[in-house]
Amino acid sequence: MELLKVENLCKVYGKGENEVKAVDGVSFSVPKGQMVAIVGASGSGKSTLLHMIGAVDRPTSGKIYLDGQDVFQQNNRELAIFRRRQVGLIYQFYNLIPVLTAEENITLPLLMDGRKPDREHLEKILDMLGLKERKDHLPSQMSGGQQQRVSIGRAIFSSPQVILADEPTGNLDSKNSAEIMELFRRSNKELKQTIIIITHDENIAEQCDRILVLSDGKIISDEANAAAEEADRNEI
Amino acid sequence: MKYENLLASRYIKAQKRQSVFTCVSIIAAVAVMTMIFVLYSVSMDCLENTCYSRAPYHLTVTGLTEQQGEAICSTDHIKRGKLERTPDNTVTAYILFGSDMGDREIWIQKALQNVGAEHLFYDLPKKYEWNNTLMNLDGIGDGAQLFRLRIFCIFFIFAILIAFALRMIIDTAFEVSSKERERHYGVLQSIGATPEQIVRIITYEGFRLCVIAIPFGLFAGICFAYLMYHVMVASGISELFQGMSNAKLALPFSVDPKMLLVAAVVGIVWVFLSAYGVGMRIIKKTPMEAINARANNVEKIKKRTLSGLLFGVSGSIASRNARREKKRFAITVLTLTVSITMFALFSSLTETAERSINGYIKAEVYEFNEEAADIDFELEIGNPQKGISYAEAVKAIQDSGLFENIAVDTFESFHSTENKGNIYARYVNREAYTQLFGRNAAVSYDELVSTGGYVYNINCKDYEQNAEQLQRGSLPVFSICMHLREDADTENMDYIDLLKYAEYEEKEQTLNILGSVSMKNEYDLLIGAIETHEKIGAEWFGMSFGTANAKFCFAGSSAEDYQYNAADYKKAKDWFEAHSEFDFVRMLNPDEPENNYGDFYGIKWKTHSILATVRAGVLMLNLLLALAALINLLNIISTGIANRRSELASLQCVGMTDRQLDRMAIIECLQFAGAAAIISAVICAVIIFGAESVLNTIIRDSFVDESEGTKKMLMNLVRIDHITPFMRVGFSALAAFAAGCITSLVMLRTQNRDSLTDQIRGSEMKLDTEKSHILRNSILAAAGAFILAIAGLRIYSVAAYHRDRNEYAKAGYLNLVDANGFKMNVYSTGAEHGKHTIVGLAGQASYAFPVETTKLNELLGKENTLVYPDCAGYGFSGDSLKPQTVEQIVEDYRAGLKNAGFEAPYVLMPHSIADLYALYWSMQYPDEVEAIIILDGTIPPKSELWQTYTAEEAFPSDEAAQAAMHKLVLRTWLGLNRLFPDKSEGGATQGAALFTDEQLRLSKLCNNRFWTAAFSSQILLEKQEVTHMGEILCPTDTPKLYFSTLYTCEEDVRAAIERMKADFEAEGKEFNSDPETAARAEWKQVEWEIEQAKSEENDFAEKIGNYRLEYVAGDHGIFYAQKPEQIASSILDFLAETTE
Ligand SMILES: Nc1ncnc2c1ncn2[C@@H]1O[C@H](COP(=O)(O)OP(=O)(O)OP(=O)(O)O)[C@@H](O)[C@H]1O
Ligand SMILES: [Mg+2]
Repeated sequence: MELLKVENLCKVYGKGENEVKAVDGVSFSVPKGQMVAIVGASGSGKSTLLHMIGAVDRPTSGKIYLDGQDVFQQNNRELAIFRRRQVGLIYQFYNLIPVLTAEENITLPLLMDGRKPDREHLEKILDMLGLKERKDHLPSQMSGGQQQRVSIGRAIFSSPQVILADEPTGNLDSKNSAEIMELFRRSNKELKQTIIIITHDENIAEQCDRILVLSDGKIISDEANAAAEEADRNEI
Repeated sequence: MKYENLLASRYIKAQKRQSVFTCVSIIAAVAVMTMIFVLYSVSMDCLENTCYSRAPYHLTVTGLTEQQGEAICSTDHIKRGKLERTPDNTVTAYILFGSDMGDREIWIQKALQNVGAEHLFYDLPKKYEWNNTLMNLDGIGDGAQLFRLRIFCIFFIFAILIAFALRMIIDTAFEVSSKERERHYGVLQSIGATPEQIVRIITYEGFRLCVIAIPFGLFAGICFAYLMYHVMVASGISELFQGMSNAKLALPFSVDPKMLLVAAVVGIVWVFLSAYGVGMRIIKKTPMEAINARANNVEKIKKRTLSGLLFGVSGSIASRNARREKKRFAITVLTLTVSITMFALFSSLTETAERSINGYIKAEVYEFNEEAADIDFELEIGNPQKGISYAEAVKAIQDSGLFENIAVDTFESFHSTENKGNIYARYVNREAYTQLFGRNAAVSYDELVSTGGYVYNINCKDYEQNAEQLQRGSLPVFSICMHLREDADTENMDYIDLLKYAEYEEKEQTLNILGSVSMKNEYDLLIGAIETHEKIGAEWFGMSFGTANAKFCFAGSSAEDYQYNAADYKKAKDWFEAHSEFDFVRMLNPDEPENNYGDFYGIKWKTHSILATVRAGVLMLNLLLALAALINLLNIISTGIANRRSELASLQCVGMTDRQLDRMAIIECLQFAGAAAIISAVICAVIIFGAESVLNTIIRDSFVDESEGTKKMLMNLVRIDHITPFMRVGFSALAAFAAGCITSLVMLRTQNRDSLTDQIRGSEMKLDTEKSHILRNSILAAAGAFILAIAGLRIYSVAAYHRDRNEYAKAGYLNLVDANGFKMNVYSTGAEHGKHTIVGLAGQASYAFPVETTKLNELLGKENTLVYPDCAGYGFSGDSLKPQTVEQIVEDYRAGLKNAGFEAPYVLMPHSIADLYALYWSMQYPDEVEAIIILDGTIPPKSELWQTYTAEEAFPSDEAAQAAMHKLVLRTWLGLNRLFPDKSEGGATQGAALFTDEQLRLSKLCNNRFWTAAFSSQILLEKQEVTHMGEILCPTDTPKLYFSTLYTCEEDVRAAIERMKADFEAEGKEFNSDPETAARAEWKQVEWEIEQAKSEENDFAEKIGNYRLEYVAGDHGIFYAQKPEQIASSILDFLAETTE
């Protein structure tokens, strides 16, 4: 059963001479509960693709379906609600609100939804991310890795169906990245969350169910990861 | 709502500097709005009040009988009527309408018909007159609503224009502060904020700022408005009301809450619109676009720029910065341009307006003659009926020493023997001749005098007909001569009668022509010397019916340099008034000298005052706009630098020096200022030259018939100064540049205090972790300051009052006892247990009555006890909030006297209006009143139609009177009357010379608390109480002595004027009238009124019964201090006789 379906997706920046085809006719689909890694050289269009899946950017052409619904058919308001409830996006450059503390940044989407954040859940996540001591700090008072962890917390806090992570461990040491990957894998298993991770780290790609390779905006390889399936089976 | 609140407050706190700028922008905008709205209502109030004070009625009807007058005053729609007797034994009705009466002509016709005076409707000259200005202002009568609407529309259009300019200020502030945050809004959207939520966050922030900014804005606006009002009043408007008794009350400063509401609402709406606009712009983008679109996207890059060429690397970076913030750049330059242009143009334009008005007056009088001296007055002089020739009048003008350059001319008409056409000859004196033709006329004035000849005007249209004869040097004419018959009694004849009594005769003459002149716009064919007219006048005309015209100006002072002199002006007016009695001179409209066309000085002065006011207003407005522009500029520059903090740090990291950085900043400022300067200069040039050429074309086209010289003259009048505006542009651009540079450099210095890595890393937003409550604290601070100020003032006023009271007590005047709910001061003097207890009751506003009566007290006190109870709110008695009816006041007096230990019976000695209290007292408690001595009492009129009361005199409505009273009481309550004493009262204190310094000091102490609640209640109830007393008065047996200060002969008037003069001189003020002439004029005017008043006094005395009337030559207010001996001996005699 496929949850996410991308059809012939294109994104073109600029015009004429300056035209850049960041994403060029990409099609693939992801079943519910799969963990996908996207790899590729710098500038190959990974982030652009992820942003369109997360509905924060509009494709030049092509379609994206989530749960069978055409994402960009929705109006702005519905899109906002979609972003709020269906996906959690972790940005390459964090994109935190500088005037809010770590805790406030993490709970913000829920507050905007008019819900009250569950304190216990919050404590748990802060604990998992190792941010307990930093929860009342502003982004500008934190290191790059800490900021990255806050942005991860914000994405996973409301346990959305899909998590889109753009180099979530780019600024983390190996111990921390292992922990984060562990976190992703656990929620992938327990909550049947679909997770798409962009990474340059082969280790991380190896832990995913499937690896997509992008080059110049095109998918050049798409294969299931035997090693990961093996590991899963072993775990069971 | 919680997280919106959270975000908004965090942003406000994190971006303190920007929040402050935004706040200040809102404050400035709201302040300007408030100022404009408040000034609108103030000026409408002032206009209405001044119109009212000038002529407090909508309609006057003359020639009525008493019954008709009373009847017409009770017609529908009339709010208030006043009747006045005139010397010819008719009655004039002054009517104020309360509601619209529809078609006014129909109304008056019906009304007159109903009272049986329909003929007045048709009589000519008209027997009724509408006061259009006041009617329009009050919205009464045809088209009045339209008039108000029109004024309001004009104001509204103006206000809207200003409002849009202000909108720009607020908009810029929002634009600037939201640019940087666009990214954050993108992030918010990307994590699921709906567009509505984004807009809500932004507007919420706007409203939070509003809560702080709008009250301050309103307050600042009121302050500005007051300042401007003050400047305007000081700059000349008040001079226009010279001599108006209630100038201060007529030009009130009041704040209309409705106007404040409008200003606040406009402010809120503008903030909302600006915030909403920003929000709408952001949500049009996808989140990623918003996130990536930093404040500064360079779309295309020009490799070579002008400033790059001029200033190297720093220059090219600076110009790239300007390009990437195009909108910001444009807004800054626009606001700067607007304020620079306004500053540069307005003052020049008002100067031009004044010059052209002055020039116009000159042109009207002197036919555009450049050499003509400026003139101040034009009068008709001489009076043939009374045998006063203009020569005598000229001599009188000269002898006054007030005037110089007296140009005289008079006319005579002849008939041509050839064609029977009219020939006009004009006779001028030397001054007028010089003014007309300059000193180098072809024929000298002396020649005209010695030969008795004439020059002819080749520009006159009659010239053609007589050309041939004129060239020959002599012109045969005949004139119609009149001889008055012997039996004519010229004293009481008007012009028409004189004509009837004249005998006519045709006489032939030959006029001697000496040469020609060229005069524009003149119809006189011949010009002769005035001596010729004098010589031939008697011979030819038997007696001249023509008067002469005199044009002249002030001696020594010229209005040319706009130095208007109130003292000179008053002297001149007094002189005219005095002499018009003898018909030396005649102003065309003596009732309203300022509307008199002969009073050019007045017109010029008035124009000057109005323009000065306009200029002051424009300057204020300009100042505010400049302030707003400056705020914008500083905001933009400092935000520009703060936003590029990390960028600038990067530049420094790769080796840019501080100097290069500074240079870059300075070049940026130069771009702003330079662009603004160039655009302003262009606009100024377009406006100046455009306006000039349009005016010139108009002049050329519409004065086709005029000569070139005239046209040149006219163009000269509308010429606008070409250089000053551009200098102003340069100067203000320079100032803006300097301000910008200082801000940039200061910003750069403060930023460089942090290390470079800090600068690169942290965005500008820094948040103190500790919570602060800017909003709450600032509101608390403002409220606290307000309360403290009020409390401080009140404490001051109470302390000052107590200090005064202690002084008064030291002098032995204080004896406080309980009266009905307040402490009454009951001062007593004279014999301990005298024969009589004489109780002095003060008249209206006579706060220091016991001090002023000192001399009288000494004379009366040898055998009698004198007691002076001060009623509530007077002297040092406590104030009372009870309505001060006659009954209340009498009860208070009785209680006070009893508590002070003075037992009835009393001899009451009321002054002025207090006679009503005394009479009421004796009617209610006959046993308590032994006798009444009335010191020039107030006489209740037979109905309210026959008298004007204090409150009515000054205020269009009861509400206005009440409001003004409240304000005055509040002023006293807060002690503001002590801190800012009112200097507008021009006259001298009456009778200052009569009192010792100590007495003056004491009476000043009493008057320091002038305006109390009880006193204001007295004023407001005056009409009701006096009318009521008039109804219930009845004769009593109590013996009464009535002192009246009515004039009995001209000598009394002269003495009164002499006293006034003495008062003025005692205070070092100048007194300009000559008592002798003034008295003669005054007596003539009031003689019949006094007859009237005397008969009223007699009627009144009759009505109260058992009286004795005595005349004392003195002034109503203080005659008891002027003639104490006479009064005391009469009183003693009277008491001895009546109480045996
Ligand atoms: N806003 C933009 N305007 C123009 N071009 C853009 C824009 N955003 C991205 N690009 C271009 O699109 C291409 C893909 O960019 P993208 O950010 O998706 O790369 P990436 O694969 O994520 O690289 P990296 O691994 O370095 O993050 C790049 O060549 C980039 O130059
Ligand atoms: Mg990327």
